[in-house]
Amino acid sequence: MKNINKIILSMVMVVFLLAGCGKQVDITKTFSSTDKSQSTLEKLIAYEISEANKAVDIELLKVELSNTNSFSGKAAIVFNRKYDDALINVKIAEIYQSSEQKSNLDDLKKLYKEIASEYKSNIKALPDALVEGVEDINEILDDLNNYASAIASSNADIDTIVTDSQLFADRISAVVTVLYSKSEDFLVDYPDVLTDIENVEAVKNIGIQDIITKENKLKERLNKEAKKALQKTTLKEIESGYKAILKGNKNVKFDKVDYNDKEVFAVITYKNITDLYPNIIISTPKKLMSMDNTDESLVRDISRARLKYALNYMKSPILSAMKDFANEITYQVESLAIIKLEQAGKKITQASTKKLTDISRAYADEIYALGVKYGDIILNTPLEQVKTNIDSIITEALAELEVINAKYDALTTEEITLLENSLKEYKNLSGKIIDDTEAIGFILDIVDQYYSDIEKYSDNPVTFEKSANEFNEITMAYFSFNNPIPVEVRFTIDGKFINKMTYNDKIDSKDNYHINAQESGELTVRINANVNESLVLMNINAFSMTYYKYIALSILAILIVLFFVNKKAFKKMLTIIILLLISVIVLYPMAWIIGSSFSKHQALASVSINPIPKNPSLLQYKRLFLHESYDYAAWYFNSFKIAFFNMLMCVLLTVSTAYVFSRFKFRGKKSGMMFMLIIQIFPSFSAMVAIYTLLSSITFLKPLTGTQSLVDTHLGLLLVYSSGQVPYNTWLVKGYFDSISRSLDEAAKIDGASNLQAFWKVILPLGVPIVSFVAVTSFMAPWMDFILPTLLLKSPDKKTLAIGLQEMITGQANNNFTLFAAGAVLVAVPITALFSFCQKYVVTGLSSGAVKG
Amino acid sequence: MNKAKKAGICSTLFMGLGQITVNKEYMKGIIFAVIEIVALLNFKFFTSGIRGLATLGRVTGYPVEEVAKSDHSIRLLIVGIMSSILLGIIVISYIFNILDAIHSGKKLDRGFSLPNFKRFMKDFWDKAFPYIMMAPALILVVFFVLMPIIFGIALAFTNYGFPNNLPQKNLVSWVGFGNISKIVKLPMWNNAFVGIFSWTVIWAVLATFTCFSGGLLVALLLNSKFVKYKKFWRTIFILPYSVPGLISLLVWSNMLNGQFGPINMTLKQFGIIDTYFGVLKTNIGWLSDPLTARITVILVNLWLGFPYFMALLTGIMTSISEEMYEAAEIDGATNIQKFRFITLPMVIIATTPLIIMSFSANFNNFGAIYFLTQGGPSGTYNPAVNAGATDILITWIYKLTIDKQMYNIAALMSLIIFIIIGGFSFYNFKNTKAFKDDEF
Repeated sequence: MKNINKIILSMVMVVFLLAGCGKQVDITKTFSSTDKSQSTLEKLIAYEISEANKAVDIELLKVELSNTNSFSGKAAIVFNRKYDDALINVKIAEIYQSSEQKSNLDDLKKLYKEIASEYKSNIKALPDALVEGVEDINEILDDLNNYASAIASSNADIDTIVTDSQLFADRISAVVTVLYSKSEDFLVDYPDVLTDIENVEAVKNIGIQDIITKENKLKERLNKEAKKALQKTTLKEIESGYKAILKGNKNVKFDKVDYNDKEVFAVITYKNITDLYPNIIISTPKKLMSMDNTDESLVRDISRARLKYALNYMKSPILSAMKDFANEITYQVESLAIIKLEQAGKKITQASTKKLTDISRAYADEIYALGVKYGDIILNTPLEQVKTNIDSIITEALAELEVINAKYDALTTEEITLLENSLKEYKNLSGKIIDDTEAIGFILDIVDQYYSDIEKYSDNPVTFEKSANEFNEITMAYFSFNNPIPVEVRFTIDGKFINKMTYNDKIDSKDNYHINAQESGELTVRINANVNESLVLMNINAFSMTYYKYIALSILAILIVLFFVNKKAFKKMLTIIILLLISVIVLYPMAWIIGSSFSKHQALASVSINPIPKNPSLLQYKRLFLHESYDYAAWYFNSFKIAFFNMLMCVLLTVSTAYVFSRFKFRGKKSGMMFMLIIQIFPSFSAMVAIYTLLSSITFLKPLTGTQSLVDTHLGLLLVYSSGQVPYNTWLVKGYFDSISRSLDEAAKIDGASNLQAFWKVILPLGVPIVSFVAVTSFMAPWMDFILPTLLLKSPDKKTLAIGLQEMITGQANNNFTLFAAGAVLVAVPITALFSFCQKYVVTGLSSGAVKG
Repeated sequence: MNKAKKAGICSTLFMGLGQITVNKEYMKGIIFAVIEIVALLNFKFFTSGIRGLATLGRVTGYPVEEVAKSDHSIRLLIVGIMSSILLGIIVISYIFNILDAIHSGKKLDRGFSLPNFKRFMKDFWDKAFPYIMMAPALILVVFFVLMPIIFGIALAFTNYGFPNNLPQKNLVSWVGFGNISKIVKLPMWNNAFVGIFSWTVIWAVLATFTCFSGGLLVALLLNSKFVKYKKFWRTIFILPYSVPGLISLLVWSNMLNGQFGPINMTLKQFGIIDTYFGVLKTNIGWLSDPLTARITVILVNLWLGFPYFMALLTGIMTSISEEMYEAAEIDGATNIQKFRFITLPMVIIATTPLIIMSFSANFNNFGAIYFLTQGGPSGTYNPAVNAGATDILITWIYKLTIDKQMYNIAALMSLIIFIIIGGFSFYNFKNTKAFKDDEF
């Protein structure tokens, strides 16, 4: 019986391994002799094969593609495929071939231009469409805002609002449809492109191989000539010029250099190509091209080399930064603009219901909040009077709003009539609010003048920092279309609030945004690596997916067979499979973040889902320490310093207190323990204000810290940390000390030891596990604490890791995912290692009742 | 009149007087006297502190020229609390001083001699040893933990907050239960509070339950006789617990990114989203759809939290005596019955306090929510209350404090959490052995 099981098992495995390798085995025959699970398996396998066949069917793929929901995904895939490297490479390869025959430099130039123009015209198509779409969308958005304010001041009834909003929805969908149809055009060419690509790949490889060998020859030759030429004096000047360029000097001129000197030319060109391509190529091509009397073969070689480097240049890492920007734009346009538009449409559609008043309330709240906020910030002491005016206006508006809100909340039965009434009131009120905001705007104009006057005379860094932050916030709000306030109103207030200079800046940046969108649109198409390769990858994936499925199916089949023939083995296998699955879930995020940290790209979108990077690089780790705005090393050192001293203080305070509570009887002991228990429960955010004030009033430590008070010092942070951890840890350590037999230290005392000696010589050595636990946890706590440092530390050089890392990846402008990954790995690895190393103590602590924060 | 009475009356009149004049304990008396003298010299500090606490300032920041002279209510509140604490300490030492004088006097009355100063110091060192050892920790705790907490509780009964009551331009005043009635009466706050509170409870229960069951499942699997290399498996499964929580959470929030995150990408590659076998047509908004986000935070929390219970429960399971299982086997129990009637009760009894602690911790689990969703997605509540669908009380408090400067409401919420979690902790503590034995 046992043997039969084994035979069946091995047969199933063989069959599935064969199937998994893609060999066409007649599975039904193999299975016809086996037991009852046969029919189920047969069906499963048949299904899998048919599905796999479907998967590689390009026609089906095309249909599915055209069915995809996302306009951008579809368009981007087709565009990218069509105008991707491949086409350019074909042309380049053609040039290589024709350049062999053509000795005329002009011909070469012509061809070069041809490619460039074709490439450009092709590539422009999508961004134009996108930019048009964006403009249309902006237009509609403006109209929507106008309409929103129009509703507020008109007597339109609910039905009209609904129909009007339907019109907006139609307009939006029209824009989206246009974008869809544009992408549709590109779909038509799709099959040709695929075959093109296949052909091109082969040609490209041959071409590149050719170039590389020629390149090597050229290098050898140029090296020789360069050595000869270097003795000349003019060359020394070139050398120094290059050095200057390397140091970042952009204004280096090579006036004295004789470009007609063949050897000089050779050196320059060689240097250009090998070292400084992006800088020099721009400054010398005219010279290069005007040289008709040079060695033709050399020119040919050079132009080939140029082409090769041009190709490399396209792929060079410099573009990855632009790519991130492109990602950003795509992200903004696709996910935010369209979604937000749809949402806006919906919001208007729902205007007849309770939503409208909700929105209006939010709107009024926002205006109110903004007004008061700006008033608060700008109108410090010298401008109180103006502030009073604004305050009173706002207070009035709010009071009226409160009245309406109250009325609205009272609505129960006769909703419709009341709703209409309150809508009218709302309309009046919002008209008034708009008036008020204009009034505020007027007042703020005056304030603005005052403000700029003040600014002239007082150089106040705090104010500047604040306005810079506000500017960022507003820019973000503008780009993400988040704010329900109409654009014009927002700008009036914001524009006044920020000083005039930044307001103009913002307008500039708005224009730039569109220009950049246009430029980066090309790049979106050109370089978005994920989407770029997606179509070829899709085929590969579809193929590899069938492998995965066969493997999964094999396991499933084995399990099913085992279930019927050997229950025990089935259980064992099931257990191990579950454990493996859990391991994958546990390990994948860690593997993924480690893999991401070795990526060359920066954005999350460019990170592969495969945790093992294809081209591992230490770029992100280098950037981490060389980054201009992130001082990672300083954060690390700060966190380490705080953690280390926190550990010392915590252990000292906790152990002494716990010893006392464990070994002595004194008045207030029970209430003291109770106090320690209760005190650790209170959430500390509202206590933060008190801590802040307390720290800012401790000024007598000035000689020690060098700052005015303990705010913005690591010492202050340390005091708060260590005292905060005392209550809980005291409980923990006291519990452990209680479990150490009293007779030990009593014996020591009988032998003449003092309290301190008994503690030091007897209790502490026996309490090492729990003391270590306290040390480990208190060392680790500050590393990842976020709230306290955010509140207490102001200067950038005092930042801790937690704040720095969090800042790195929040906010869409900071698309620094892989940088964050590298930073995170550098923190997590030592801490995890420490934790695993101290696992023994940690488990002791766990069973004593520790909970990880 | 006996010496005890005399000394008591003298010390009542002035601290240390009884010790010096009647009991002839000069050193002790001088120490007490110095305390009173210092207190009297700073009399104004106490009176103005307590007056400030009661009134929270009278002089407003208007007109502009007077700002420097105006009262800063919050500073007054904090100074008031500090002076009250110090005053409490002085009153206690005053009472102690009288009792000490009477005690020494009684000794003299009975004909005993009092110890000389050297002897007294030694006795004092022995007697006060616990207090001296505790002093540094106690001082820090009183000023950096207790004082801020009292301040926080006091805030809940003031109107300190955006927009009308921010010092130094405006004064803050006591409003009694005004904030509570605001939350009860105003529908905007009422809705948000009820919604967030109920989600907090659901979250805490589910988070604890899933982590416990997950840990139990893995512990059971590891405990099974089929599994070899148990230490190896345990080392793997403990990893999420040992990686710093903030980093895991930030990594997860990126993994769950709707558009570029690897989870949705994988689903696409496996054909669940958007392709040939497509079940779903669009990306899953793991953190952007209210219900999905709520489920997601619980699942991510499971990833972070199950190792803790796994480590705990494997320890407990190995300590369950084999004999019980053998006896059950002889009685013909199945595996399920063995689990149901032996393992589960043993495990639950041993871990009940820890489950309650874990519940409290989850109730206040700021990181798991804030670093994943920042409380979002918004839209569930009125925008003015600044809360999102996954916001629990603690993150809401954080946002009210940091983003909206509504300190009074935040303090009130803190107080509510304090009462709830305090209740749980107290209940938990009451059931500990130490409390029942009345040992400490």
